[in-house]
Amino acid sequence: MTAPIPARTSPGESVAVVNATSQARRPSGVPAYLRDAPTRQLGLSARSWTWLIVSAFAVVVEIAPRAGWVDAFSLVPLSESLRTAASLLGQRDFWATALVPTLSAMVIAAVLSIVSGVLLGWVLWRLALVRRAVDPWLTTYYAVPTFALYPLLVAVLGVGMLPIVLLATLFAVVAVAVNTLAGFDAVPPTAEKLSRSLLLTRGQHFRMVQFPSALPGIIVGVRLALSYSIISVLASEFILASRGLGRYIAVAYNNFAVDEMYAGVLLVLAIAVSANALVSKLIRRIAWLEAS
Amino acid sequence: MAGGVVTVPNVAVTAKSLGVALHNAMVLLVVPAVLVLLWAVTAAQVGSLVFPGPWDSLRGLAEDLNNARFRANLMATGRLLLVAFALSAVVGVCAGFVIGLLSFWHRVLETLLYAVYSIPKITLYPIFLLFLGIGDVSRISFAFFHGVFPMVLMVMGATARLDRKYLRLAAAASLTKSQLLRKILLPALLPAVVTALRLSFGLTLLGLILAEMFSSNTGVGYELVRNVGQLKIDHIAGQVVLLAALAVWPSALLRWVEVRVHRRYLG
Repeated sequence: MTAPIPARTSPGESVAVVNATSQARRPSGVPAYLRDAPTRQLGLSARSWTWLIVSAFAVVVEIAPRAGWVDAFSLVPLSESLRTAASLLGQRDFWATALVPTLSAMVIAAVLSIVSGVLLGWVLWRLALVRRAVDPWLTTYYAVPTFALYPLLVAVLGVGMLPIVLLATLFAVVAVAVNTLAGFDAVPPTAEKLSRSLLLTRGQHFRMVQFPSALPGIIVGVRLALSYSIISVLASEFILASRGLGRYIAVAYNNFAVDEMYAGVLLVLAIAVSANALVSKLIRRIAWLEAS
Repeated sequence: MAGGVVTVPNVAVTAKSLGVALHNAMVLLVVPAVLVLLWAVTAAQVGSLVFPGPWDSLRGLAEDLNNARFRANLMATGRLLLVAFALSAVVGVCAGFVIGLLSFWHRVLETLLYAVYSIPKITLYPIFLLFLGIGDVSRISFAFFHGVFPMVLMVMGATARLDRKYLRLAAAASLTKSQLLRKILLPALLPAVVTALRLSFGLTLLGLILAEMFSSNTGVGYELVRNVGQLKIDHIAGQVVLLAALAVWPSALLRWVEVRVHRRYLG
C-alpha cells in the first residue's frame, strides 16, 4: 500500500532548482513548496531518521520506568518485557493455551476469507444484477462495527474457536471480495479484444487474461485478509474467550501482571510484523514470476 | 405563458427522478431483505430459544429502548464517538497535510505510520487504561487512536503525491498563500479527505465499541457483553441490529458526499 515517491527529474525541475539557489534572497524567487526536498537533515538520511526515531522510542520505554518518569505499575522497561516474552516462548503451557490457538485461528480465518472472498468477488463480477444490489453495502460494510456480532456468536455457538474464526472470516471476507472485484474490473479492454481475436476458449481466456489481470487486486485482498484476520482474532480473544494470546493479555491486565501484559503485547507486535514481512516476500516472488 | 411551458417538463423531470430514486431505494433494500429472510428461516429451523428470529429480536430491542439505562448508554456511546471522530478528523487532516508537505519527513514517517496502522491496536488498549485510568478519557483516546491513522495516511499520501505541475502553475501565476490553499490545495486534496473521513468513522466506532466491550460500565459495548452473561440472546441480536442501523447512516452520508466530491474534482 506504500505509495512510491514520485520521481522528480524532469528538466524543468533542475531549472527551478538553479533558480531557487540563485534567487534565494529575492522576494520574487521560487516559492518554498517548489524547491527540491533535501535528501539529508542534520547529516542523516531519511532511513537513518526512521531508525533513530524507533530506537529513541525504545530507549524512552527502557529508561522512563527506571528513572521514575512514569510509575512502575504503568510501564515496564523494554528489556524486562523482552525477557518475559522470551521466557514465555520457552513454556510449553503458553504455546498450548495462547500461541497455538491464536495462530491457528488466524491462519484458518485468513484462508477461509481469501477463498470465499475471491469466489464472492468473481461471482459478483459475473452477475451484474446481483452486484448492483450488493455494491452499496460493500462500501458501507466496514462502518458497521462487526465486533458487535461477537457476543451474539458466543451466545449462540458457545465460547471457543468457532465464533472467533467465524467472526474473523466475516470481518476479512468483504475486503478480499472488494479488491477481487476491483482486480477483475481492471482487465484491460484491449486484452479482452486480443483474446477474442486469438479465439481463446473460455478456460484459456480466464487463465491467461482475466485472472492474471485481476491478480494485483487479489494480492491486495490477500494482504488485507491476513491483517484483518490477525486483528479480529486478537480482538475477539481479548473481549471474551477461554484461550489465546488476546485473552492472555486481558487476563494479565486484570491481574495487574503488567510485566506479562507488555510481554504479550510485544508478541502481538512480532506476529503482526512477521506476517506482514511474509506476505511482502510472497508477493515479491509472485511479481517476479509474473515478470519472467 | 412561459411559466406553463417551463413547469410541464419540470414535473416530468421530478416524476422521473422520483421514479429513479424509488428504484434505487428498492435495489438498496434487496440485501437487507435477503438477510432478514435468511435469518428468519435459520431461526425457525434452530428454535427460538437458542437462536432468536427477527421478531423476537425486535421485541427485545423494544424492551431495551423503553429502558432508561439503555438509552443513557446509547447516548453515552454517541457522545464519545462524536468527540473521538472530530478529534481524529481534525488531527488527521492537519498532521497528514503538514507531513505530506515536508517531503523529507514524509519519507521518514511513512514507514513508521504504516507499521503502527497495521498493528492490532485493541491489544494496546490496556496500556491506555494503565496510563489514563478507566473512564471517558481513556475510551475517547483509544477510539481516536483507532481511527486517526487512515486519516493521516491518506491525507499525507494525497499531499505528497500532489501533481507538481499544479504547484508550478501556482508559482507561475504568483498565487498568494490563501489563493494557493483555495484554488490548488483544497480541490486537489478534498477527495482524499472525504474518503479518509468515511474510513476513519468506521474505525473510530469500532475502537470505541471494542473499548466498551473490554472494560467499562457504560456504553453500547457494555450492554452487549452484559447480555452474554445473562444469556439474553434476543436482546443482543436486537442491539446488533440497532447498532448496524445507526452506523450505516453517517457512513452512507459520507459516501454520498464522497461520490459527489470525486465527480466534481476528479472528473
